[in-house]
Amino acid sequence: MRQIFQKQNRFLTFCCLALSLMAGMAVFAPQVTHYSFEEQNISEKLEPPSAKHWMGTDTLGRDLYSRVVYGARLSLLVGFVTAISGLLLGVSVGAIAGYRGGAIDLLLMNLVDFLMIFPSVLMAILLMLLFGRGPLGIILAISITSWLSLARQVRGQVMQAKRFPYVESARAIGASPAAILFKHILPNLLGPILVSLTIQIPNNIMAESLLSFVGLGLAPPYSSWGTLANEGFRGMQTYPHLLIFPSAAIFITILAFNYLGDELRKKSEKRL
Amino acid sequence: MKICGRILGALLLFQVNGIGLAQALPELKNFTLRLQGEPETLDWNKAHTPIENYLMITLMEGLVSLDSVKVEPALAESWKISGDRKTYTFKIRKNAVWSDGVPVTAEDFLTSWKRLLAPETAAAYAYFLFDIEGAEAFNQGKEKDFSKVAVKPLDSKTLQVRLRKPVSHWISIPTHWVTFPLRKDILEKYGDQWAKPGRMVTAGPYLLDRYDLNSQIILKRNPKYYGHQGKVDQITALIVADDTTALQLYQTGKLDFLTDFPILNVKSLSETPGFQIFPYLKTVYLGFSFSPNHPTDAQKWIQNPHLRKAIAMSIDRSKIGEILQGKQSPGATFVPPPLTGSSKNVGITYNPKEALEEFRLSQAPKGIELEILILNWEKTLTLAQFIQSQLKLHLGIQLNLQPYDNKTYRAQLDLHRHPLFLTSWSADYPDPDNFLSIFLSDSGNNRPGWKNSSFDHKILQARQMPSSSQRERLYIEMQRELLDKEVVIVPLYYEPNIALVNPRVRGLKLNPLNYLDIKGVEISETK
Repeated sequence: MRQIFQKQNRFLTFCCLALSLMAGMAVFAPQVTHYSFEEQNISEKLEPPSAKHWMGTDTLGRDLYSRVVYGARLSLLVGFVTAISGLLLGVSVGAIAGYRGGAIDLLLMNLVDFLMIFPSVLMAILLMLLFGRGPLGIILAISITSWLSLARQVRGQVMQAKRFPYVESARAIGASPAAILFKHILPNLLGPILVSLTIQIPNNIMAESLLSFVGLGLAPPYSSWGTLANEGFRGMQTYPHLLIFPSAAIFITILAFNYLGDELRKKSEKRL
Repeated sequence: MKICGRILGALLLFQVNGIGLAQALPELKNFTLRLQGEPETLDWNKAHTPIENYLMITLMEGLVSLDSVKVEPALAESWKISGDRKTYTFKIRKNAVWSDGVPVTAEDFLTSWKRLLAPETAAAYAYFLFDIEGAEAFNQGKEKDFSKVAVKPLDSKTLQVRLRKPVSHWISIPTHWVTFPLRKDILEKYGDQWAKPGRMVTAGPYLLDRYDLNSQIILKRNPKYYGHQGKVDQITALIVADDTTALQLYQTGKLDFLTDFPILNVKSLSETPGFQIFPYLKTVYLGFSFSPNHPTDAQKWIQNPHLRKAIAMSIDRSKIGEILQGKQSPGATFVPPPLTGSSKNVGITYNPKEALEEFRLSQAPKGIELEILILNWEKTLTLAQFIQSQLKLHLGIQLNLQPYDNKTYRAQLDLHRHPLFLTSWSADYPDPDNFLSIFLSDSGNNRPGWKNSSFDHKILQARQMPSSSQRERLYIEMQRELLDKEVVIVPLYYEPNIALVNPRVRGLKLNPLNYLDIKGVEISETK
């Protein structure tokens, strides 16, 4: 038992390290790369990985390592910003609906149900057409579609928590509804909310990759891991390095986030 | 249960060894090709995209056809051109019959051409017949009586056409599928829905047998065809939009013929036995928008010829072949070689130093942002990124790519919203007129929206010239104006048709207009 725990811990350490590395790469991109992500050198196109170009070069002779590192910026930015904005929206709507109940609850939850009818990628595609291509369009499109299940989850938990004695006590000493919600109920829901955040980030990175993969993401020369994987996919038989490196970045990040989320969930369940 | 299992096993063995039904019946010879998308229509008066190309030519024939770039007899066994080069008399083959046994008559051409020109048909290629006396007026609704259009059946097997002016390339016009004949009784029975399996009658080597929406179209050999019967029993056209999927289908033997595949695979595929290069009359070009419909800042700047010249000078076209890996050669004239009017000495050449000087003369602000409209296809995205980096490197211009899917892209092209766009033109008939006439002021294919009456006049003048050297001189002169002086477009490259042909296929012909001739295709026995 202890061995398993230690092994799990080792994997957890690996996940945390991998995520820190990715985040570090994204923040210090100019410092950790030697080439610009958009500089073309046709004479060095489609080279396999070498000491000069660690991940090889693409069809226009651009350094793939630089593109993966700069891609981390966009992929992680989209992942974090959309997860946090989705979280704020989801928690607010869920908390208000759960705490107030009645007509407001009915209205908000019907809205959530209505929005859930649309497949999220289809919805994101529609919103992208509305907001235009580029980072802002993608962030808005994914944020708007990623808060729905969280709102439902928070609503349920708030409804449950408002019957607990500590909430009744707060109400008895005359605390305002806002104070009860923000000071007493929500801090107790922090665990599950954090867990959902760690699951939402990789989901949103995947959503961005998917949108970019189908050609609806960022316009070149900007690249995220999804756009890089899309470019590499077409030549996977001849130039596998073009697909392997961006996909590996997506795979490791998503695995790490999911595992971290799982561990956090286990810990928060234990505490309860 | 055990017995059942044994019977099943025996049956399986029976099948695996190829004994049984497969050997009892002769093997069906099937040729499979790929369509990049759902055809808009199989109605040959209306079909106008490259997707329909292969099917039209296989299903049907016109008065004449193109073998490589030479006009050959087809449904017409012979034709005569009058001394004033204005009257064409076609003699239709006696043995030419429709697939239901009804003879092909001159009346069938009349029916088709009337429908093609009728304003209510709204056919994209109606202008193909405008050189015929009275045709343009009929299409524009100025003349309601079709008998005023100079297309006359002299008898059931003779068709006479009179042109308003002599046109040197006119004999190429009836090679195009929009001019193929149609049966009046079929049209009256089915209306616009005639081009469906079970309804369509053809006079070409194959028949329309089956159409599964968004999946496949199956053609069967036409036993009533007047010429040599095709050696392939069945043609299956698979509708596959994605290039990578199509390549996988070819590699697993499910496709016999494929022309568009991911550029990253060209190099490795060029070493395989099925790799073939066919000549193609196609020019890919960068266009500038002259339309004043949406005068944004960028639109205004692009009206400045110095800026257009600076852009043309800063793109190193010699690198394109290396990037796209499809044996592309750098563009000079808009008319591609080997057509009359193509030359290496016309067009703006790569010169970054002079480009910078021209940019200064244009007084455009440093770091100016321009938008370019492109298709979201792999090849155009790669090419556009190359142009983007060249303009940034030499002129500091920030080029923003606007990639769209085919339908949206075409709609955006018509709107003239973007100051720059990438597109191509491939020949409908092998003549320089087909390239340069797209810049006629009233042409529906004039993408830049550039209008110049003296240019229009020269196009019409060249059409009437009988001497090839005179025409050539005029075409060169026109292109100096179009490319060097006005810089309406920048021809980027000429491209051959790169194809993968299954080694079991023999006798396949693909002409420079991308017409696939399947009649002569033979399929060797599969082992």
